Amino acid sequence: MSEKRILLIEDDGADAALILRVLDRCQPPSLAAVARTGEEAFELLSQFDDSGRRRPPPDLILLDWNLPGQGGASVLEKLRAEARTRWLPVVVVTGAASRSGHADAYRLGANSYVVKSTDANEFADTIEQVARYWLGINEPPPWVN
Amino acid sequence: MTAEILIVDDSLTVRMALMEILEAAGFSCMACQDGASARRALANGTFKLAVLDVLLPDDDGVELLKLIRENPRTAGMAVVLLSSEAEVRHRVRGLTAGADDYVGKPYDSAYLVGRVRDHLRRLKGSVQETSDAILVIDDSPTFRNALVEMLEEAGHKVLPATSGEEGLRIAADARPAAVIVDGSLPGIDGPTVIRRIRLDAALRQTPCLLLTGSDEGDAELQAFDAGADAFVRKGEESDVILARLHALLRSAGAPDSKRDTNSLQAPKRILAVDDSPTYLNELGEILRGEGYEVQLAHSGAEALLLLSVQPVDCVLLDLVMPGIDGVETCRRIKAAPGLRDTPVVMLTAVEDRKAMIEALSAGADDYLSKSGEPDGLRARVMAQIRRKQIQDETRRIREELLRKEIEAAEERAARETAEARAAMAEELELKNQELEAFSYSVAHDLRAPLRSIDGFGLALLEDYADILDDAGREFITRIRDSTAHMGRLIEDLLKLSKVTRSEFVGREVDLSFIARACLARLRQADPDRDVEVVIPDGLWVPGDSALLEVALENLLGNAWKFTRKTPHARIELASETRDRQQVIVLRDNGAGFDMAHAGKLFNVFTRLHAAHDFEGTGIGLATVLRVVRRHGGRIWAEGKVGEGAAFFFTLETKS
Repeated sequence: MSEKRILLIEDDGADAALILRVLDRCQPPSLAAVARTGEEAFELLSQFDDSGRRRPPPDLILLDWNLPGQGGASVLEKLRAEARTRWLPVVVVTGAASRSGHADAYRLGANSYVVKSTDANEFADTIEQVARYWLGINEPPPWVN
Repeated sequence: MTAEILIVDDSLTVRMALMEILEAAGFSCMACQDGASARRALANGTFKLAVLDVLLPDDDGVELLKLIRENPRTAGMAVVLLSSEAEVRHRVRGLTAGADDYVGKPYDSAYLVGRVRDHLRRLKGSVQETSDAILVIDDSPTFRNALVEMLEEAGHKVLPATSGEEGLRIAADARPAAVIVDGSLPGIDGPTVIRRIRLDAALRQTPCLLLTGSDEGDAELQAFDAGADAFVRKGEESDVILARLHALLRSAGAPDSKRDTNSLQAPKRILAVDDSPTYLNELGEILRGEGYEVQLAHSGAEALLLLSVQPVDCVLLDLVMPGIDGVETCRRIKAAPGLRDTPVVMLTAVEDRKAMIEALSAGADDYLSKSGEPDGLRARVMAQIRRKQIQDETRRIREELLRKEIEAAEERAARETAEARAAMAEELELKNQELEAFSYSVAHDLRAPLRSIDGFGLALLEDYADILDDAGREFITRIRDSTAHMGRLIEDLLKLSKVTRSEFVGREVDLSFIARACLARLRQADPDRDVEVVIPDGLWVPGDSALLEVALENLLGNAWKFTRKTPHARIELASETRDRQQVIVLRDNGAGFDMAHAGKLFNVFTRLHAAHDFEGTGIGLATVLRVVRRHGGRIWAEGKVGEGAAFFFTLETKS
């Protein structure tokens, strides 16, 4: 079985580095690509491999809710609008909880909404649980890929 | 059926006459000749109105009146006192004892019937609707029939009458929309019919059209003298009569023309004052003949006494009188605030300049020689009454305008206040939204660097453990501790601002349940602690449950924290009554505090304990204070170092 693939959409370099560090130690093993903006993310999603075939979509998307510019919400909206990414698990990660953000994320089709804790241990724990669930426990529908 | 009206008079003639006129007017009557039988009748029967003679052989009409007013069964009755004009003191006594009316003997029967009808109508509480019929009173069959035909053709319902007496009867029963009456009739003539109509409170607003003979030169004077609203010469074309009638009906129907008792048509009350009974009675005769209600007084003192209980529309005052003379009486009338607008016409036997000037300088409105013709008297009295009428009307209009102006101003002010309030609410809402956004970004932006510091600190500790020595690891741990404290500060400040901004939802809240839930969380986070907790069941209080949870979380959290070093830790929540008010109290036997610092306990960032003893942000109690204040309550604390603390608060939610 091939390595799980993760797309991390996160503009904050420190957060991205910390998340990658946690994912490195998680089971199942995964390979993460980082996009700093929504545009970068969609570019990565439409790349072709060496044999000229379109790369399969990732197994999990971690989406920062407070992206500069359009924000995480519009990225999520576009992901849900495209057939190739409609069924992908998307976990929204946010710097601070807000009631409206929480509601918006689920309304637009997020699979989880998690808050990045300032406590490093808690933060690591959250990312680990998310990865374990969406990459290991959850079974994607057969028509994905 | 019991009689409606009780008549009490010792004179057989008066009794019979009263019975006759009142029964003729359609009322059922019972007559008594003395006080004893009247008292029996009052005890057994139920009357709507009583006509009482003031002087009875065995009793006093005013005493009977008091008896009627004292008994709840009869207190609502209308009472008309009947007495000769000489008894001015009785009149004053009667009116102050609660008489509805006081009619002097000799009385005008039409006037008395009008007053009785008025009072009974008032008792019934409802004013009978005016019919839309036109009453036509004319003794000539040809002219009457022609009029009836013309009016019916114009779409009116017509009530024909052949005499003044018949016309008045029909008017009282049917309350016509207008009256057309011939000036010359056998028996009661046209002007008298109109005068009688003006005396009846229910009919006085009815438009009256007087028909006059074509050759009578003073037709106009005659008509208006009687109080007619319009006149038509019998020789005029029929369409002139119709046009006049329609004009009358229009103006009567217009809302502004609604005439009250102050109108020109209302019966006017005149007080005549003279020490000579002969002249006084003569004066009374003349004025009564004009349709005025006349009161007579024999001295200035009597006049002032009467005026103090019943205002009049005009005073005729003899200049020369024993005791308080005319000039002095006039001066006193003009000095009384409620009376100074009453016109005073001074009467004197001698016509000289000096007397005239004296009278006018005392405030009299007019001056009249006793030796003059009655016509002069009539004209002057009418002129004075009209003048007062116009004055009153002008004042009324001015007051009405002023009132409308005030109302408009008030309305404008209320509208402006409402608009300002709405604008303020809108601005507040906007400010709240702004604050919400601000708090969110503060929380978000302050946390990001903390997350980074703590995250990389942890990475250092985990990934470079072999490179770092104990001191290095200790430093990183210190960095992480500070970061954690900073994180808690941010959390607590956000909670504090939320407590002020959140919507207040008041209802009955189970404080016991909330307290237990908070304690369960504390135990879960600190499972090794052994704390005795006492929370009574069913501690219901009025308030907002989310806010109260924040308050209890802080208070219980403090109690939990400050009993950490107490061997047998105990936390107790209770409800007490102080000054008839429910007080919630939370006691612990922990570290306590010095009462000298009790005052600043609830300030933000106030900490009474060293961080190494008990950690904290100093925001918790400030948050609790805000929660209690939002409930309209008070909070205070008692404590002693080393012996524990007690926090008391009240909740006074109105809604």
